[in-house]
Amino acid sequence: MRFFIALWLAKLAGFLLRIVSRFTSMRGTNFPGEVALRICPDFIGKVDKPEKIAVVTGTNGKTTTSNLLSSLLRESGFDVLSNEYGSNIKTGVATALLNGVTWNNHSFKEIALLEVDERSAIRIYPYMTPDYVIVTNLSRDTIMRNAHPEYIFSMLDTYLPDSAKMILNADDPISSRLKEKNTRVYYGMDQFEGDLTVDTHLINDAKICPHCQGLLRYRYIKYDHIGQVYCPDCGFRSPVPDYVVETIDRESRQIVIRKGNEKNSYHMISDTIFNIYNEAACIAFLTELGVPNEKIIEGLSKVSIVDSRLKEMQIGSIRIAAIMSKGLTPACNAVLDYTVSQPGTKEVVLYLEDKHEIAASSERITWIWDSDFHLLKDTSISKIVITGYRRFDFYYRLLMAGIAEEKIELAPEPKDVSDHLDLKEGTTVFVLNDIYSVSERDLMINMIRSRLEGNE
Amino acid sequence: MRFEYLYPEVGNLYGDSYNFRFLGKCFPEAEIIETHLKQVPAFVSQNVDLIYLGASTEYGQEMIIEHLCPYRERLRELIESGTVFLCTGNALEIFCKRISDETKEIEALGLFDFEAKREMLNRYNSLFLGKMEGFEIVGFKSQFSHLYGDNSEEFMIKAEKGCGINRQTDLEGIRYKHFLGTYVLGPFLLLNPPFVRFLFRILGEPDRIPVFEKEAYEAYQVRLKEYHRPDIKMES
Repeated sequence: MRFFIALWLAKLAGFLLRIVSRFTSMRGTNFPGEVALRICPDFIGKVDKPEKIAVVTGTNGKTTTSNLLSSLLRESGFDVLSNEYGSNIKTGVATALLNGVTWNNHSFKEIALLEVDERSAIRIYPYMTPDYVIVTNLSRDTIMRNAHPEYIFSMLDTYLPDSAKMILNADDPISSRLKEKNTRVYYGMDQFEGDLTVDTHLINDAKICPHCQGLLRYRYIKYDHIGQVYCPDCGFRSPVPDYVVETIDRESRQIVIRKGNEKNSYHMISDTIFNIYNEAACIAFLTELGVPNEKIIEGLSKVSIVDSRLKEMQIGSIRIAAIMSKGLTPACNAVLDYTVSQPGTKEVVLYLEDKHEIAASSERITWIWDSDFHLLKDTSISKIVITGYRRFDFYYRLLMAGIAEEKIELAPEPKDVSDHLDLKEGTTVFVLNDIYSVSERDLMINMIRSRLEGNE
Repeated sequence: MRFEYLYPEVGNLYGDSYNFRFLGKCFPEAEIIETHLKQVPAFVSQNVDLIYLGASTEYGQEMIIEHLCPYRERLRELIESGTVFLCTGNALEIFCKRISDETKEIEALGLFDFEAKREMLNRYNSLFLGKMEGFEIVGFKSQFSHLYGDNSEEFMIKAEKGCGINRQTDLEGIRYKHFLGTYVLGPFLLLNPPFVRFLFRILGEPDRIPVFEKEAYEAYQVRLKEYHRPDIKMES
């Protein structure tokens, strides 16, 4: 009975919230789940669920991957339950599940595709048994919440069910070892011309062999610690991927994925290497689910990455590329790598501080000392503008990284950034912003646009 | 000068490794040694001026203890003879008697009479503000474990905000001769330019100018002002 009271009150709360949100900016996407769990702590266990459940987890890329998958599943004709507009913790999952049942607790959805925060494993998997687990990668994350990858690995390894089919990144030496006894398929990438074989990053979370503590070596490295490794001491090596990105054609925006002897070409949703991994994860999962390949190809030609993560525009001869770079080492490194790899002359705006952490307390900026800011020494970058409250930390960091003082300018606030840029013909302006700074990012872009349009 | 970073592949969790990189930049003529898990540390057969250990995972700590155990007496000798040791984050626990958690007890090097207790489901996160030798120390703590024992004669920093080696004390870290161990983790030297000057003094290089000291002070002053705010939330 307690469960039904929880279900009805939570549904009522959701209904009222939807009415209120029409007239206000109030969203409260977790609130119905909060109500349900407060009344019935094992609500997630008791609520009826779709026949199939897939979860997406990992340090980086899980939101992008799960949003893509929700869209792709819908494009393939599935009636999907997802938490794409809610949170990825227990209350968000409860809210999503609640939205997929009738008032008398009958699921009316075909499949659940849920993004689940890694640390929520302990609170969610004892009550919900996913059939598929898609893991993007594991690497260092916020020190306060996630401690270190080994801690997160152990949580996932302990609480994920033994019955779940794992869709794993073969090129991540950490997460590829999750749930070693479960059935699994791996996705990964072939070696490409230009891939390094020596790790040049400041930090690598997968430096030692899990079997003998020897230093791992790379056959090739893609970004951060992602790549194919082997141990010269004991022979340990990365698993061979089942789904392999064999070709990346940036001009025609196509990727080719090989599975056994079969090769298929798909629209490339983004040319960033980390998003190509996300796309490969999607293709691997959908194929394992039994979605016909034509549907996947068609779906991928229609979907895109949400605007908050990647925003690109051309104003006259100036290209602006705003990339969300969660203020953490691996995500930041991947974005720095991408920025440097782009052709032409660039100016880079750094607004990477966590404004919420600053407002509540003071940001733990340990991650900036692990991140590869030395990449910005690249001669294609003509100027770096640092903005925000923590600009002095970033300035000091960039100097320590060997970046010439005359190449760096400090703008106290985002609104000041545009005035510091040169905006010379043919330049690309990369705006690297934190996850919570979308409005400031848009302000910076708008001011750059105004300046450019005023100049025209 | 000869500086040794012990086990950088595991003792590098939160920006810690940049402390050592920073020392290399300040002492470009110094011999910089990074010793990995399967190697014999340089301090075993040579004199070193500074030994650095950074924060590691719990399993990482256990590996380090295992690898350092054969050199326990040599480490004792170095500490007693005044070699500079710098430990950030949970690295100082390695030098204590034991580390225990809910399921096991790990014998550590036993060079200091303290015991660490881990609680893997209870992470302690806090900003830290303290005083040492008349200057202020700022930084962050983020840990599963605390240290227990009497450090009233050999603490490193007196906490003004945030706790000491455990929640019941404001005496932070271990300072014995030139052994300096603090739970304050990560880029400790980068965050604390006055401490850098102190460190250079005990290394016998009082006139050495740290690289980009002016810029380090600018960032330090902003943080100091922030940490002194009465409404600052220290614990998270």
